[in-house]
Amino acid sequence: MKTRTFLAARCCVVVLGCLTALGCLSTLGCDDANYDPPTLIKTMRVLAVRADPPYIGLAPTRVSAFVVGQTPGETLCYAWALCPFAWEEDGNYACLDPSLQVDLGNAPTANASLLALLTVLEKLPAVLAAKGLQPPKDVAVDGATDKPSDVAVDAGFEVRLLFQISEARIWGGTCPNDTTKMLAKPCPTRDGCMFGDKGLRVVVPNDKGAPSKDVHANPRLELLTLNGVPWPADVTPTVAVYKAPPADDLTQLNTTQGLEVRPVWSPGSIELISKSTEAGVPDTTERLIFSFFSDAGTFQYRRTGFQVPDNGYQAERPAKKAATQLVTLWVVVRDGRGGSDWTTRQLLVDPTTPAGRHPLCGDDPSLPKCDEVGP
Amino acid sequence: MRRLTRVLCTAAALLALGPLTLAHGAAKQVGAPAPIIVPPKMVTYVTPVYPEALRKQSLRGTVELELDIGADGAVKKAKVVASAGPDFDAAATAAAMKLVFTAATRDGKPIPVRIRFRYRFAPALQINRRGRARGLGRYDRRAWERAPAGFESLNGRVLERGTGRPVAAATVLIPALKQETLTDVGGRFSFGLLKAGTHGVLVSGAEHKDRRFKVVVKDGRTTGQTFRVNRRSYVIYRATATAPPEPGEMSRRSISAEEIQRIPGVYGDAFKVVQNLPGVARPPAISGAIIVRGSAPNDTQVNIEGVRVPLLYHFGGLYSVVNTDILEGIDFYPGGYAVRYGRKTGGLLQARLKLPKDDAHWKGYVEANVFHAGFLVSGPISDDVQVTLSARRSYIDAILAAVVPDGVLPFTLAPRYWDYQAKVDWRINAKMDATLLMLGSSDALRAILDRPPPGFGDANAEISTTSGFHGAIALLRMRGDDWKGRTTLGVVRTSANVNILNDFRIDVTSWQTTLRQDFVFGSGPLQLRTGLDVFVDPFDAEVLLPPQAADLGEGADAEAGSRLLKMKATGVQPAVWFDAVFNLRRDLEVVPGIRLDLFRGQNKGQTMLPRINARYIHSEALTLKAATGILSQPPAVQDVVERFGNPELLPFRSWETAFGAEWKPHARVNLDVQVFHKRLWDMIVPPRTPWEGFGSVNAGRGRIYGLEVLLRHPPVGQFFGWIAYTLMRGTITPHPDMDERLLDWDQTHILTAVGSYKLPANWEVSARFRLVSGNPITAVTAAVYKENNDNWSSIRSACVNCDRFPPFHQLDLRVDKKFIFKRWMLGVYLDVQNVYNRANPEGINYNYDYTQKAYQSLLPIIPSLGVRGEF
Repeated sequence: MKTRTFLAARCCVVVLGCLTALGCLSTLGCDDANYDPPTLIKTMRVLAVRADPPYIGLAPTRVSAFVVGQTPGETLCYAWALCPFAWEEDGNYACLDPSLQVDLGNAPTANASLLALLTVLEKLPAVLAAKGLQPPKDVAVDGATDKPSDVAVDAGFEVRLLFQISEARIWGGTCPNDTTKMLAKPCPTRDGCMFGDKGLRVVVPNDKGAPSKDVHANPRLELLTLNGVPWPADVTPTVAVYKAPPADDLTQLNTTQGLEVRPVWSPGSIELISKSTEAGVPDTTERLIFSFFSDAGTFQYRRTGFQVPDNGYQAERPAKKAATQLVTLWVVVRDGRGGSDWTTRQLLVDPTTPAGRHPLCGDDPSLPKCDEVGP
Repeated sequence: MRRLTRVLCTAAALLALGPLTLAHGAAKQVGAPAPIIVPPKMVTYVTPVYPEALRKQSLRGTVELELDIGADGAVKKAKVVASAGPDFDAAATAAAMKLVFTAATRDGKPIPVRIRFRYRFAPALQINRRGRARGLGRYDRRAWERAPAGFESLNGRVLERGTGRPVAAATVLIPALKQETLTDVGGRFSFGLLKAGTHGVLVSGAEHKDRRFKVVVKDGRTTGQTFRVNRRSYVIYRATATAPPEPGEMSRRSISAEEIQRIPGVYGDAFKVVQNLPGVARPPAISGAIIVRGSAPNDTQVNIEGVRVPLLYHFGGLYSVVNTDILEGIDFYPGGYAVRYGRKTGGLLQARLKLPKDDAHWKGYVEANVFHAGFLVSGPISDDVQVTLSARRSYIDAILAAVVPDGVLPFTLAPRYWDYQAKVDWRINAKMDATLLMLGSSDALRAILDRPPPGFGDANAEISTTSGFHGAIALLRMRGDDWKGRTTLGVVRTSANVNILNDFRIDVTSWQTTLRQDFVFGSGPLQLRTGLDVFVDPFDAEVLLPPQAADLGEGADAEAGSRLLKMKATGVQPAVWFDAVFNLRRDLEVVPGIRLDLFRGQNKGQTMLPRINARYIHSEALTLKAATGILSQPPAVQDVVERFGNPELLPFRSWETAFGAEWKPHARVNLDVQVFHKRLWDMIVPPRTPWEGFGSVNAGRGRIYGLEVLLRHPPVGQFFGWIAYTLMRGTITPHPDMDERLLDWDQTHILTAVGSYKLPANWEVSARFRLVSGNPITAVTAAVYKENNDNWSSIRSACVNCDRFPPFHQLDLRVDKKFIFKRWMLGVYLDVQNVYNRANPEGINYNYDYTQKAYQSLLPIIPSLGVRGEF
């Protein structure tokens, strides 16, 4: 698929439409919306789907979901499938045809196989012909042979992993086991159900047996830092309620407020994609993007990039006048090529905590002193 | 004549000149050699007799007449259009029938015309004991005499205060000496031998207030007196002439520059004003998009004198790039236009440049409003050459820099724009004249972000955009005894640059060249018209793609891995056209025509397009009209360029038919009703599935039909305005196996009411009210989570465009006031859009996962203040 030129065309249309026409001015518009930020988790949400390895190759690929916020005690229902082409039609988003869909089961994890995909691809020409559609320009499928190994697939070919994860209550308490039916339409209700897809590259060794450059690994989140200090997963720091600066204090605009959370990734997480062939144009590498979530409080940014990965977190006063509140934070990293990783932390919001004291202060020489006023 | 009660009557010769000057412009057709109309000039003035029955009552009155002047210059008919009572009416009519004019001509041939004329009756002036005139009591009007050549006692000029325009046919009276005279077209007057001394002078005109002066006559010769008088109102509504429209045009609607300046909410923008006419849908908020009979904005052609304008507005809709004051007006064709125009299936908007005036003098203004400051200056540099210069620049960037501290706003260069126009008109000889217009525009915006969005560029992230054009339009008009020709050459260089975070960049340059040659042969029962219309559009673009869009896999493409794309394309579109005007009878005109378009270079295909128009003048008040024809439109260059589009795309076509009637039962009532139907095929639409590539295909079919009504009160008396109503439906079937759906721009009901009223003391109020059906929308029924990007993508209903926004309605008001000084005027206006602050929905704002939604309105109540100093 000509992702490159497709994205370029979309970029041209969107950018030109925004910056040279009225689109930009419409951002001045007013509306009555006051939505919860996307970083706030109040109900069941799938934060990420991980594939190991993050592509479809000769070895099976194991997929699993990172689900948070589910109703306590609720059983989760799963549906997984692999599909060459999923698209929006007739008000639905589904595989192009049920015969092209590879059912991967209803368990919390699933395994995707290239061999199973190849058998489906053999049916593709007939399906397209029956629907009167043209095949993708970058996929050459030899319909004259019945040998899967003779099917030539462009290494830039991407398939869709369809998934639906829901709470059993929306199905009357019992999870269905008909994957095809569950994935034929988006969720019957948005509360307690998420329907999505994940693109995974299909990787086939080339004629010389060398692996494609799409062979890559998931990034790894090594740790988080809190206000510059490493934050172990088993440590629950106590933090103060965030207090906003005076409104007329313009110098505090655009600065990180409250706590600073910074993800740290392991070396090698940013992999080279291709070397540049033009002077002045840098090599193409992966670009890590971090998504932040919490079940209380506010993050300054929904996402940050690898250039400036830190994010500000503002703890809010505990609800219902409780003395303290335990807050869970989640951080997910994606590499733009299907790879992902995540981590979880908790902190305790205590309104009586003095502001300015580092949340991870302690007696250990590597930690800030608790009597020092930090940033 | 005995010493009788003097009647102070003046002729409104200006009325005779003014409307025909406008007729000259209105009848002039852009894109074809325009007819040269010379208005009639008064030869014999006849003073009406003050009605004896009213003398004792000392009544005043003004009678406005509509005179039909024959081709011999004699008044054939005088009809009262503004009465001052039966007695005054009868006296005015009787005198008017005896007036004698030179014949008006059209391309040198005498034609009958209709003009407005005014007689003003005032009680007789009384001379009091001190010799000052309170009226003309026992003063006998003497015949107008000139002193012997070379010997003048008093002469001078009467000019209008504020504008400096000469006042013609004004009475200059010296009551003490019992002498009076009239000013000529240039405002000049002279008296014969006068007694030396100080004399009181009374100046009075039909359109001007009486004013008294003192002059000193020395040694029998006094020269160069200039008297400046105030108009009764500086809010001038010029009546349009009733010269017939050009043949082959069924639905032309013309608006003068003066009307354009007065409509609230359009800020005097000549292009936006058509949004208030029938057949034109309402675009979002302040957008300048022109959506004609359901067609997309890009389907309507906008020209200046036949040359395409590449960018109409600053920043896509903020303000027009062309100063309306260099235009005579605009002609808008929602459909049914002649074969001399093509390459678009929507409407046609022609801007006409102002024509040089015979009595031109230097004038201009300096203005400032919410958006920009600017100036215009115009005048003759010789008897045959006139120039006009205009420039404007926005100043919001300067204001923000001065007022807002550094670092608070993300802009390093706030939005700024400028534009300029320079025009030269040259009368080469009696049969040839030329015009050269140079114009240009520039928009720029640059912002530095403190941190780049995730996955993008450098820490020092920049977003910038610049766009603009420079061009020249040259016109040469020629005429012979039985033919006329016009050559038009336009060259416009357009450039645009967008830079997003140093990761994504687009640089586009194009040189659009238009060459037209139009000829008209013959007159009377048969007129032949033909021409050549060539449009060349070279397009050059360089795109730096973001790394995410770079080729991530091995491909057959030789440039795999490259982020830099270069594109060059040239569209060459020559066309020839031919039509014939058959005046089968005095009341029936039929114009069949044909146009052949070739599309070469980056475009492909050719089209042969027949059209036919007909007009039947049923009576003086009622005209019936009809038109049918085929139009074609080539794909845009970016739709056919190799990497981004489909080079195999062909032009799409439409077949349009319309019927209509124009009814003018009264001078102040014009009613125009049209029904139309349009069928489109080979429409350019996205491919059926996303993986077929992103190049469009010729697969769509469409239908648009409706009713248009325009009820108009022309600028006569104290008021002008119109009510426009459109009832319309437009549908498209994108692919044969897909359901028919409403067009994105479909608005079932469009009601617009516009009016402007002249108040005393140079005040004017204007209003505009609009009530429009909401735009179609497709409901979001679900959403799919795109895990790769941690984003949600909406899923829309299978029923596309089946829902609508709530109806739009809005009231705009405008108040103008002019302050008159000796040699200049100050105009001030307040324009308030959305007076009752209606939150009209223009979009829908969803939350991140499309589970919640709220209507989004754009602009609230917007007051805008402007000032203009004019000389």
